[in-house]
Amino acid sequence: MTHSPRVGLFVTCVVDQVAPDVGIATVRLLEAAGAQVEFPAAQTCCGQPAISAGEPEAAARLAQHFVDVFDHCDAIVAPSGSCAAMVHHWFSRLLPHDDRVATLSARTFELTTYLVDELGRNDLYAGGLGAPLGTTVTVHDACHGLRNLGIHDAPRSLLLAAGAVLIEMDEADTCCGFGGTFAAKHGEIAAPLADDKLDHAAATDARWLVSSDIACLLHLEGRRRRTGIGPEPIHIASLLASGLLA
Amino acid sequence: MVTPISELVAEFRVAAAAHSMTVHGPVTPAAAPRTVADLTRDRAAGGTVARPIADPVLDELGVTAALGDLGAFSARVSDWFDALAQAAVGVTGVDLAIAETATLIIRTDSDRPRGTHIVPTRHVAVLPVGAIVADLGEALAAVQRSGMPSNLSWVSGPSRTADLEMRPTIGVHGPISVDVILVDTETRR
Amino acid sequence: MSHGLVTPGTTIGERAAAAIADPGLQRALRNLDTRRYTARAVADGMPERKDRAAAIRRETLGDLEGWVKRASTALSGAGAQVHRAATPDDVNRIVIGIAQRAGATRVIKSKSMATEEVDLVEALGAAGIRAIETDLGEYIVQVADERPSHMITPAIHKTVDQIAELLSRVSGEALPADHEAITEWARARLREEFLLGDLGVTGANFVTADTGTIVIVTNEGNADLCTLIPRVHIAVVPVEKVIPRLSDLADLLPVLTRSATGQDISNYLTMVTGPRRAGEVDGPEELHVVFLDHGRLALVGTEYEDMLACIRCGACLNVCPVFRRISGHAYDAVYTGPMGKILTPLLSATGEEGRELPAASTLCGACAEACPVEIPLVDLLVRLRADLRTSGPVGQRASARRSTAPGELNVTPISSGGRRPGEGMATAANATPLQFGRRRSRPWSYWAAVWSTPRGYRVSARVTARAASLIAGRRAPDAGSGAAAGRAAAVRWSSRAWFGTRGWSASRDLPLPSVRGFRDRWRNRKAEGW
Repeated sequence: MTHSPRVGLFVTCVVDQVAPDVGIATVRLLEAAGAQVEFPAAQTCCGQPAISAGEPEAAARLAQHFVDVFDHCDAIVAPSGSCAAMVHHWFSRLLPHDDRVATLSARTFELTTYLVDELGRNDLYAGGLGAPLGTTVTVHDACHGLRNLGIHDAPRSLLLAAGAVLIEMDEADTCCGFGGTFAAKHGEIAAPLADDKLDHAAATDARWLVSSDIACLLHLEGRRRRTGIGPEPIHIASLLASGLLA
Repeated sequence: MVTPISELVAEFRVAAAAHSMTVHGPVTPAAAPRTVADLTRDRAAGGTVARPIADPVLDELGVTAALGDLGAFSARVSDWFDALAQAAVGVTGVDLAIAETATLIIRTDSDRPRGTHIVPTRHVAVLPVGAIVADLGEALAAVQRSGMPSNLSWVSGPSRTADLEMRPTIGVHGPISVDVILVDTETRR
Repeated sequence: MSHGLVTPGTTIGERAAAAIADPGLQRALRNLDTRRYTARAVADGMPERKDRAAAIRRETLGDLEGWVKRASTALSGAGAQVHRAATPDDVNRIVIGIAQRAGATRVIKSKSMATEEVDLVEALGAAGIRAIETDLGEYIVQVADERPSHMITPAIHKTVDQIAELLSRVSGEALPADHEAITEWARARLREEFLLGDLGVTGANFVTADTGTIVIVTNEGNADLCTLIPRVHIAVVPVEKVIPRLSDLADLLPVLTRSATGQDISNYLTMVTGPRRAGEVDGPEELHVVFLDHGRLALVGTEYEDMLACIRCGACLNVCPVFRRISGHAYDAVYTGPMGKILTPLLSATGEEGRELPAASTLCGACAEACPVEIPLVDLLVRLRADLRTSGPVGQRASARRSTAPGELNVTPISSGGRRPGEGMATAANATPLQFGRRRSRPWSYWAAVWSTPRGYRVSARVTARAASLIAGRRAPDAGSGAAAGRAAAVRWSSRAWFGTRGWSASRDLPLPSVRGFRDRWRNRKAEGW
């Protein structure tokens, strides 16, 4: 591993359009960890919405574009477990004849696992780069990151090292109900699942409900605004970046 | 490496307790007829007792004769099945059991009807410790070696259901209790 | 076919909403929570056994027809009469024929999802043959004229109060809402039925191809009673229940019982090899095995083949966030939960059944994680979503050959152990490339055409953001770092304005897209100072 690893940022279409501050936080965290961040401007979307909708041809088109855009990068990092999982789990089946896919998937990472497992950095504030957060958090384990990529310890490790107090909620690993197209197609089920998640989070009395997937967070925040129940959802990048001093 | 019988018995006890079966003994072969008869009389509480027509374990230990003194009946009686349906206790020998899961493997043949262990209200089983094998794999190999009978009932507890709000209750169709009397024999089958 | 709790003509969404709004049902469903982690005990406690079980289940799928033939030979050798049924009607015709020839009028049944699949009890009733379910949960739903809501615990959707009230109608007197009292009443009631049964019908958890043994797993012991009392025993067995060897049970049984209920073994196992032998005093004189196909053999060799590995443990139901909220009747299917969402459309001969089911999933993967035989359920759901774009029977159309070298594609299966990415089996479902169909959605094709070019994406993002802020009458301020997702920009949408959000905005706010997205901010980062 080079001292200053070069990372291609895959900001993801949702962060790009709806929560750009999460992208900014991601860049700041990667740079604090010593990475050199490039933003390939031609990037668009990993194709996940199409897969969820049962449109593999559309997904393959986007996947092909992704491979073309990012193939030159040493490492590709996204502030989203589900997007990284899309690359890992589906690209080889969508593009079986593109022999770049295997190695590209292997160098595509979700943000927290990249920081902790690849760079070996869980303490991003070391050397006076940040001040301890001193706030209480509870973690929602986003499904695709958890089950496809094993993302569980890395976010917690980062939060603890950043000086947050972690209170585990019941059913942290139960789906929040977003599920891609399901969120709009089956709102009658998605909203009660969000309620369950917000109830469990509320029971911890934590200040923040933290997750590594913006889609989950939008869904939960959207529901919270109607019901008033539960801690404020925040992306882990945003929370961690808030402690950086520069 | 062969597991010592004492370890198998210990494991059997632990599993049986977890499965709501009551274990007695081990008693010596000489004491077996009296122990079985006393327990059976107690469980029968004035009701009738069913036994197999012939059973290698019960016969060899003299338990069959002792049960005869209790008025136990076998399928030799006319209207046997009606009698079985009224019986308070069914007594069976067991010639193969599993330590890990406290499973009694009840074999059917012309002398050992299918119904003896399941139709009466309670089940009393007589198990020589030498008949206990360690695990399911060994038991399956043993039954396959000796040839599959028309019916094998693998009993690991009384009749149980959790269909009511997931709360387990006992005695829904079959026995409301299973007692196992261990007999201290040396022979390994 | 009437099934109490399902109103004809409703959608799964409507039934789900009704289920969620039903406080008694929601209370009852919490009882399922105790089984949420039982499958994890298999993955964590016996990973090698689980791997072996998964491999055993794939062994027969390579040549299912051949294995059924082997099992048939062994069954016949033991004295059973073997029948093959291509369709549900065939099963019912065969069973009724046997019953009529035997002069049987009172059937006692142990639990069998296959008999639900073919609606056997109804068919027998139409032929003047009364059939009583002896499994307590099945008996309860039979009295209620409902389908089982869960394959292991058929009446999980009912509270004990509801059960007491229901059974009081049979008993003629008020039964207390007490578990022990109901059990005692049921014992007496069902004993009457047992003793009069002249035909026993069971399913089979497994049928061994070497010894010709029918293996039935119960806790109640009712399979013992159903197979010893009547003169005739019929086992209805879907073809995928065949296993190669009796010894395979050493891995399959522990994995099944632990995944289903958390038990190391069930209280009763009934192993039947042939009918009553000479000199025996009880047991059936005739043993019949009816192998049911109903679309299964057509799946062999296709990317859907893995679904046939299912051992009906119910673990996927127990962990599914959707099932745990909506319960089985919302699916309006025989097989419910994640496996039911897949099996129902696959087996449908007309292609009509279960079409809406695969979309009613969040694809969270809890089911695939829980599955003890490593069926990649999420992959199958995604494939079905694509294949269901075309009308007609999906299962019969499935023609993709599985990848001959499953490891060839660098696939990360949905991790079988839940926390072990990269491990788990490369199976037909997850190793085969996705098949592209001819029937694609125009909107999605346009979306892909636009979004696979940087310019198209940027323009559409800008147009969307501008349109959104016009409609909402507000502009999303640039959110500084540290802000909660969407907090600065969330606003109540007019749902008419935004395609696809009607289902969202009925219950949740939606944030405004930023007119200046990340890429604009990146270009400006020096000036913004980050």
